[in-house]
Amino acid sequence: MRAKVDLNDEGPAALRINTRRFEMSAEQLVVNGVVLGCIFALSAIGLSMTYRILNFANLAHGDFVTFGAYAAFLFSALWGVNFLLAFLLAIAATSLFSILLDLVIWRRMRSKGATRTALMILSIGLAISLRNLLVFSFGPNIKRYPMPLKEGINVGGVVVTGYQLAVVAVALVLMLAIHHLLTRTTMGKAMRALSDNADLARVSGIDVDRVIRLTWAIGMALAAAAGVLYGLITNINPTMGWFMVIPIFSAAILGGIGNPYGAMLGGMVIGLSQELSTLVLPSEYKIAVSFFIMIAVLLRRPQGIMGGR
Amino acid sequence: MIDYLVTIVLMAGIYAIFSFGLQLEWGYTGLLNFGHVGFMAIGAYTTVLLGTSGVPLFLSVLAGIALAGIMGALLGVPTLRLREDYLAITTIGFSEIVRFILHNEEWLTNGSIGMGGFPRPFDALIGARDYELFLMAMVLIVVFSLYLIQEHLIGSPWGRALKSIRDDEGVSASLGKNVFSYKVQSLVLGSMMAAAAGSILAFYMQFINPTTFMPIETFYAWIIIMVGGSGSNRGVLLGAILFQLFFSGTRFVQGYLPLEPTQVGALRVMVIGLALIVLMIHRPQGILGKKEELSLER
Amino acid sequence: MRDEILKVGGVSKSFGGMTAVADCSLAMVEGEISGLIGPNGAGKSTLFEMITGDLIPDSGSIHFLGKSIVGLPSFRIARMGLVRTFQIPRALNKMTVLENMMLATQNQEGEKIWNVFLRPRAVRREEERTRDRALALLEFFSLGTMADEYAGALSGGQKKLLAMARTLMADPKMLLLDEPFAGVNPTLSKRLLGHIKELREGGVTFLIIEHGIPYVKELCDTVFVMNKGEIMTSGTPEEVTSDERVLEAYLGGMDDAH
Repeated sequence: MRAKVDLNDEGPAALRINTRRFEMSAEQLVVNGVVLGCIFALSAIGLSMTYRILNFANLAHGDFVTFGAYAAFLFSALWGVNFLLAFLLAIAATSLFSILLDLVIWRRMRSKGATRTALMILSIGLAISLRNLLVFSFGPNIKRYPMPLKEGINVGGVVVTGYQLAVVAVALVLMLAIHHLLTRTTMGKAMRALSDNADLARVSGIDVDRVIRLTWAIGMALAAAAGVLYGLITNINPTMGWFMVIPIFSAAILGGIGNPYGAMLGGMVIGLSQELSTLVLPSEYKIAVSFFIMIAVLLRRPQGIMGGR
Repeated sequence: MIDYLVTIVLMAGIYAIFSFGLQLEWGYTGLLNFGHVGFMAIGAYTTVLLGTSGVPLFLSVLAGIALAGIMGALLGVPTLRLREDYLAITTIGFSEIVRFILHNEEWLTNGSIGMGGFPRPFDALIGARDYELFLMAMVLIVVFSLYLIQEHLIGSPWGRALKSIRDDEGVSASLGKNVFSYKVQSLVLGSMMAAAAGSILAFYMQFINPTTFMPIETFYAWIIIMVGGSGSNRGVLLGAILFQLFFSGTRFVQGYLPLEPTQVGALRVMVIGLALIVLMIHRPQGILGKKEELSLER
Repeated sequence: MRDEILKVGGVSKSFGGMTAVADCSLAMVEGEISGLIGPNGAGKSTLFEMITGDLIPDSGSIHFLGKSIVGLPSFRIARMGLVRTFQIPRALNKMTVLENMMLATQNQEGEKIWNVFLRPRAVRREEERTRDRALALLEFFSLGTMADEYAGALSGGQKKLLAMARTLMADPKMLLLDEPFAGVNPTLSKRLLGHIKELREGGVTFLIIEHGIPYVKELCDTVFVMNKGEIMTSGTPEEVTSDERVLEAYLGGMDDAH
């Protein structure tokens, strides 16, 4: 089966060479879906964790993805730092920034006993501010990392670029790192405890504020990584993260809020669904696919695939 | 100078009409609707499409309002039983999908090119120069009528039932109120107001395209009701005026700042985002809202 | 012979493998005051919530006024005349005391939106009648002076009284009270006792969850004792409080000194 694709919308770097309408095989879509799924997965883990531990839906999450992408752009394109180093610096910068925000904003709201609703509204304000700060600093136009345009290798009719492989590799490494953190470190176990039962965790002497800051740090680090990787294979623009909000929330909800493994699975499912949907739907409606998956989950099984009862 | 004032009043009025709907949904019923702009788009495009096809404008506007109400019900039935955060996310998705449809179904809407040159009420009778004045008068009439209607609604037993839902759904139900039905009614009415604002916006701008209805517009309505005061209709009027003054005022000083136009635009919206953050931390009830009536702190 | 008003037949409810209520049955007639007692975790609240429609039983039947109410949404059951109070009084804090009261009236024409616009005079007249009733009831419960205060400003004891007054605005046929005397000072408790008795004279039926045995002895015609999800036994307050098994079920005795 073949699907029509408009090359003026986002697609892997290798396909941006010419501007004719282009047909993609199902196998190619699977490859693209896996790559996109990895990016969604990384982003969704952070969202899922902050959602559960801070007990609200952070609508600014997408803009942290964007922030990470721009930070890497700043370091690599504007300051001439080696890309790999820029990637690590961007993750660190985003992490630190999110901890700062917790100290200045979120912790204050917690001590006031702010409701989930208040936090959501505030997160919208944060999303708007962050996005426009980036436009103010970098301008509204599309940017790219100073990396050479890679030709893809043709493997049995399917084109795969080095960058796509890098995305999958980095994502796997990060997901394994998360797994290690959650299962083998004290902090990780504290995070799981807080995630399962906040009151019990508090009473057991866990320093809740510290665990919360760690959750932000790790969650937003992953979001930043997702942003840089996405920018690597497509481009960097101010609304890249905001437009991922629906697929990422969809992935987190599908996997079960609070379950990082669920988020990984959810991310892959959403990524693949979106890409494969172009076989039957115009590619502009990809977002509708994740939207309807989310609605279906919320109506039938709101705790998601890996959520509790 | 007069032209300038007319524009401010007109735009403030359109945003006030738009925000009245959100006030009913959030300020009085406690619904987190982050997709309000979707209904504005439905109102605008329906009016324009029907108007260009020769349908009398009065009916076109009513059709837009009716369609928005129906879509509100269709959206509300599956989603209004969801928890408030899930409702918020799904409403964002809704307004984005509306925008995507308007963008992609070019055969109907001309896609990103947009639609212009459509008929406006009393076009032939009023000259181009006086038209804005006429539109402003029309907007003012609608704004004050809506204000009176909304005040009447809120003071009624129906309004009281809505407020009880905002306060504590469980108690409301235990007292025999059909919570779900009221929520749907609120969303439907609020959407209809958004559609009315959309139609008037179309007449004012004489041109619409999907980027007229980006999600940020919803959040402009949110900042208006948050600044003016959650649960205060006078707050909507105040908020809309302050908002429009801020927007126009910053355009005024644009020339004097050593910044690119896109930078000024971004700064403007960033200030709005920051204002929302500061408001939520320090004065969530806004200027005219009552602290005792807010459900934002436990 | 008074009519049967509530009939619970073999209801059960489990939560994820844990049985909260197992095969409970009870019946009450109009004008009866029944107590529901038992140690913490016996399943009293769960049983309550199945009757009010807040929970759906896994099995069994519940009939109110002869009609099956299993599966009906709680607001519909409330409209039928079966009204509850909450253990921790839930006033509508962001509305005034008077608004809390006026809200509770059933079948208000003014709550239908078309009436608000099409029949404004009828709605206004109805509001006046409702307001008069509300103010009278508030006086009755000594809350008259607080009518225009936000309900959030009331003390715990006052909120309990408001909850009672509010349920009466609804003209209920049966009231389910969840620990109405908990945390209420003796003076207020006496008044509450008096109100409940007066209401029963007027034909209202009561099912009361209560830990304070003196109140149970004073008010209740029948007492149901629950333990570990089952109705262990039932009888008059005297029979039940002298039953060995009941005393055993309460580790260390019942709350006699209240």
